Amino acid sequence: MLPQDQTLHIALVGTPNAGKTALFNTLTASHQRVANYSGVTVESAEADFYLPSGTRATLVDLPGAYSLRPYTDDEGVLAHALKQNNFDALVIVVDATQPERAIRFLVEVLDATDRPAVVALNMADLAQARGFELDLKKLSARLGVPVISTVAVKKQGMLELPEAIESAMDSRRRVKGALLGKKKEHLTPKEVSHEILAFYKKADEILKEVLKKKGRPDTQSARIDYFVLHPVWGLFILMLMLGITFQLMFNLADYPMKFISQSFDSMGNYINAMHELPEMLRSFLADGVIAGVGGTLVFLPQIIILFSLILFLEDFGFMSRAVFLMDYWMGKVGLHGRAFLPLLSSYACNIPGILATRAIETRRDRIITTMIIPLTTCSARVPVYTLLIAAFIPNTNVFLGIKLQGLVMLGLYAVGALSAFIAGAVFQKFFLRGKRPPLLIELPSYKWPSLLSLGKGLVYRAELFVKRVGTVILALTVLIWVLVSFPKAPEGAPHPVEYSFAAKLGHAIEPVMRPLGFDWKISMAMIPTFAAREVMISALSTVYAVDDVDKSKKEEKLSELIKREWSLATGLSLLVWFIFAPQCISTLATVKRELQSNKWVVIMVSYLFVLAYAAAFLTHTIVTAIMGK
Amino acid sequence: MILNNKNYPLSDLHAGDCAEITEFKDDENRQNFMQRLYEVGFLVGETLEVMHEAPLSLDPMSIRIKDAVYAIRREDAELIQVSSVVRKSKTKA
Repeated sequence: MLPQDQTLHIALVGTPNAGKTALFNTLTASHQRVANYSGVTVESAEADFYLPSGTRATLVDLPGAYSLRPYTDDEGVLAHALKQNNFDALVIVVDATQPERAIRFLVEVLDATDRPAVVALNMADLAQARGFELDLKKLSARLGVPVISTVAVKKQGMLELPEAIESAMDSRRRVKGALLGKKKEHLTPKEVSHEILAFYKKADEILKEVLKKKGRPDTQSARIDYFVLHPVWGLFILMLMLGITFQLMFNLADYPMKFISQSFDSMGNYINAMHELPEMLRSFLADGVIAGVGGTLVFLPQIIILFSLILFLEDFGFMSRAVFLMDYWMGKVGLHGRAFLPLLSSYACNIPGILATRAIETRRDRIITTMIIPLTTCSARVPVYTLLIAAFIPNTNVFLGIKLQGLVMLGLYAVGALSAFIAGAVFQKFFLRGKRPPLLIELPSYKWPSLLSLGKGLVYRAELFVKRVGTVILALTVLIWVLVSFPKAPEGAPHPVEYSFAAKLGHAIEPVMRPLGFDWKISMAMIPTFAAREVMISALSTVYAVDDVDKSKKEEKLSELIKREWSLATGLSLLVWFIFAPQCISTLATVKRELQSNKWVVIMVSYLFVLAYAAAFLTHTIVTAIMGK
Repeated sequence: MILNNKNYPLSDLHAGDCAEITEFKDDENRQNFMQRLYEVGFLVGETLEVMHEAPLSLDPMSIRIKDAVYAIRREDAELIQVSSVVRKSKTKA
């Protein structure tokens, strides 16, 4: 028996669409963490499970790959991990409905490492239903490792797998690289294709021996594809899906959002009523911490709804079809079809969108996609838009019950999307010339996602967001509170905020902002929004000293107030500013980490700033010219 | 019906066509892509079927090879030469 205090490190590897993540989620009951590996910029999830002897094992979910010759940053992780060879064991997940490809992958991976390994032949139920018959005993003998038939989404084989890992730990396998003899470090393309063919020859030999019966093609997926990829209905179905997704995101999220903001309000009121605490502390907790954190956490429902739909469509197999349908049109502005998913995710929050660009093959395309992601309307912009629209756009009936305010909101989304496409085209034309890399994407069989996998994927993304609230947003909130609270105004001053550090800063940058129609108060409220734009509302409330026990009343008051104080030109100019301005420190940090570059962060900030300044200036000038002062 | 025994680039095929891969064109700039094609099963002698063409643009096209379906663009499908084209649909090449 292995000692109890030792934790084994087990790498989970596999081909794409083989159900690797489902297996990860089913096998590990415990909470998943983000794992970072030396020399690898891509982070993977890890979680613990126990072997039958009681030994604890940490399973690391490495990104799926077709081979050890990486084609994307994601795929490079597997090749790198195998090269380092510092895992105690490997679990290799392959798709039982594609025995040929499965065995090719297995032959190659098992040749690249001498670690103990276990094969999970996943989706065994689908393979059986389609009539595939494989001799697992023989396969196991030929590969020299245990082969377990699994159905991860139905928890089949989840007892056998840990047993097999345990028994494999004792066995010694042949030395790595045995199949092809000594390998050179750098191979010419011709040598590489010879290598590939040598692996496949070996794999096909094994396949011939173990495949007793070949299965039927997947007719069910073909039937669904008949509609989804239909020459006429295909694009229509895609647009309908997008429409439904955004409708649900806004309508369903309404109630939980109200609930969250009311909860934070009552928490703030509760603190304010605790007169035994010193006033300073009460103000810090209620106006600083609770108001700031609550103001951001309120977007959690929107993020959860958008991501549950995206994760569902992805696991179902629809997202790669969306890439198929959109690739040609996205190519018109130099984008790769694979940029579709990152861009869609960015509508909830830019950060997961930027992380999703890892699946894009070349650095050039990753950069272009990343650079335009901040132009998508993430949910942090919505409250600012809502406030400004409510204050400056009359809610008149335009046509058949369609209101002007709703149209303007839609317009802001459209301007964002349009400018993202234009920016993409400009980046490709002037900075990152060259052709799009070829498209090669699998359209996997459709399958019902497992609820467990969806749930865990969702929790993971929600955590990313909540963590940001707990760190960046919290720190900023405290900073804002300090800036507006100190130094203290003399007793009885009518506007205490005017004596603060924030006011001095506001006056300092006012000359720059004046051409856009922003006075020192707006300038001052804008300072913290460079780190997170959603704090604009609480910053404005503080600057204008708007206060009310009821939060919705407070926003109403603020809306009334800015309507009186600002001209229409200023309001619209600020609205336009928020479409473009680079205002999220977490996004910039993510860009830096993902692209491993300061240069592109500087370029991103500069181009967005110039764009925002120019657009706001034009808006202010034009509206002033039409409306008069 | 088999059209004839001539070689065509895969990019000339349409939805419903089946064919056999005969050779690959060399392209220095797309060697990684060629490797990936081999790796997912595009090898000389394999038969493939064109499943769908994207709406309106007819590009990319989806190809069934072995037990999997892949989407590739016509400009890249040009690198793959096929013969023994079997046409199910009535449309002309």
